[in-house]
Amino acid sequence: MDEEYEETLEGTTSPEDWISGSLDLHPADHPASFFLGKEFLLWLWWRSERDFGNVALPGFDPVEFWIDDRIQFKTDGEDPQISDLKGGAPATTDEARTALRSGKVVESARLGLRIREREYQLSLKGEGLEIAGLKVPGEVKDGLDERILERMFLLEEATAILDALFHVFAAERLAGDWNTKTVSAIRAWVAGRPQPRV
Amino acid sequence: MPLLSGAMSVRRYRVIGRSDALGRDRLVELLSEHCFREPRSAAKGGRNLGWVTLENLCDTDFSTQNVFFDQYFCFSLRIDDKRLPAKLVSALLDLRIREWLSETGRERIPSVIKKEMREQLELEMLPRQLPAVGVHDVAWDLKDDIVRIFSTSGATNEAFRTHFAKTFSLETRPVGPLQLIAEHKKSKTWVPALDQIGYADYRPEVPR
Repeated sequence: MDEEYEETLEGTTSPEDWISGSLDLHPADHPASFFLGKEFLLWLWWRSERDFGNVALPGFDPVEFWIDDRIQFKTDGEDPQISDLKGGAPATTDEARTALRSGKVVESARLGLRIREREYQLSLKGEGLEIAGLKVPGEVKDGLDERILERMFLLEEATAILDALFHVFAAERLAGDWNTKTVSAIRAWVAGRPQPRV
Repeated sequence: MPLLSGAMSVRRYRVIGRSDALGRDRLVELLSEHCFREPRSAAKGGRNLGWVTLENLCDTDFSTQNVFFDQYFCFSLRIDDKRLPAKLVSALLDLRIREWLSETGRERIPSVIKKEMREQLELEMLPRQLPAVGVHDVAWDLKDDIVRIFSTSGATNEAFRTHFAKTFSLETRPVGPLQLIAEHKKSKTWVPALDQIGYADYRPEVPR
C-alpha cells in the first residue's frame, strides 16, 4: 500500500469511504481514463486491418483478432450523437469510416479473438475496458468443478490476451513519437490512403 | 449463472491487503456471517442482500467443499428488491382518501393523515409482495487476488464492493486501463507519461 493511500485511509471509517477513496486515487479521475480505453479500441481496429488481425504477443501463441458484428461511436459533448452499426462486418463499411472522419469516437465494439483452436467473441467497452457478453468455446457440460475450472481458464485467457494487446498499445501510446508516427498512420488509414507500416 | 453457463459479463477488481491470517476456513466463516438472510418482517420493503452458494440462491450453508475450486473462491451475491407497484398504491390510496373525506365530511385531507394511510397500505400490501431477486456470481482468484463479479451494472457493482468490504474488511480497486498501466513492469516510465498525453485527433487533415 503506498503512502498516499495510507494517508487517505486514516480519515475514513467505512467501506463506502474506501471505495470513493480508491476511485479518487486511481482509475476514474485521471483525464487519461476518459480516452485511453476508447483509443485502444480504435487502435485495435486499425491494427486488425493493417496486420490482418495477426499479432505476436509475449507469452502467447499467435493471436488473431478482429472487429466482429457491432461497433458503436459517440461524439463528445453534452448532447452526444451515437452511431450504432450492427450486423455483418460493420467496421468495413463506409459508414464506419465516415464516423471516424467526422470525429466520432469508438465507444464500444464487439471483438473476435482466436488463439490456437479457441475462438472468443466479446463486447469491449472503451471506458474501463469492461467485458460483456463473452462467449467462450467450452466443452465440459457436467461436473461443477470441471465447468468452473474450464470457464475460469477460458475467461482468464481471453482477459490476458486483451491485457497483452492493451500493453502493446500502451507502449506505443506512451512513447514520445505517438503523435508524429502512429497518429499520422491512423489518419492515413481513416482517410483511406495507403499507409506506411509503423 | 454466468460462471457456470452462457455468455459472461464481468468486472474485475484487485483485492488490496489480504494477509495470510485470512485463510480458507476464516473466509468461509466470514461468508457465513454475511450471508443472505430473509428480513425479520415480511412487511419490510426495499433492498436486502447477502451471499449465497453458487448452486442455489436459497442455500447459505457454506463449506470449504462448495466454495473452493482450486484457487478460486466462488459464491454469489443475492440482491432482493421488494417494491410495491406505484400505480396500484396510488389508486388504492385514492380510494381510501375518498372514503375518509366522505366519512368526515371534510373537503381536503391533512398531509399527516395521508402519510399514515400510505404507511398502513404499505404494511398491508408488502407481506403479499414477492421481491425481485437478482443473483450475481463472484469468483475470487486467491492466487492473484483478483475478484470478478459477473455483472456490469454500476449499482450491482457498488453493492458488491460495499458488501465485500464489510464482509472481508478488504478494499477492492477496479482493474481498468490505468490500473493495467500502473501494474505493468514498465509502470515507472508509463505512469509519468500518462500526465503528458492528451486527446489525439484522428481525423485526416483536409488538404488546403
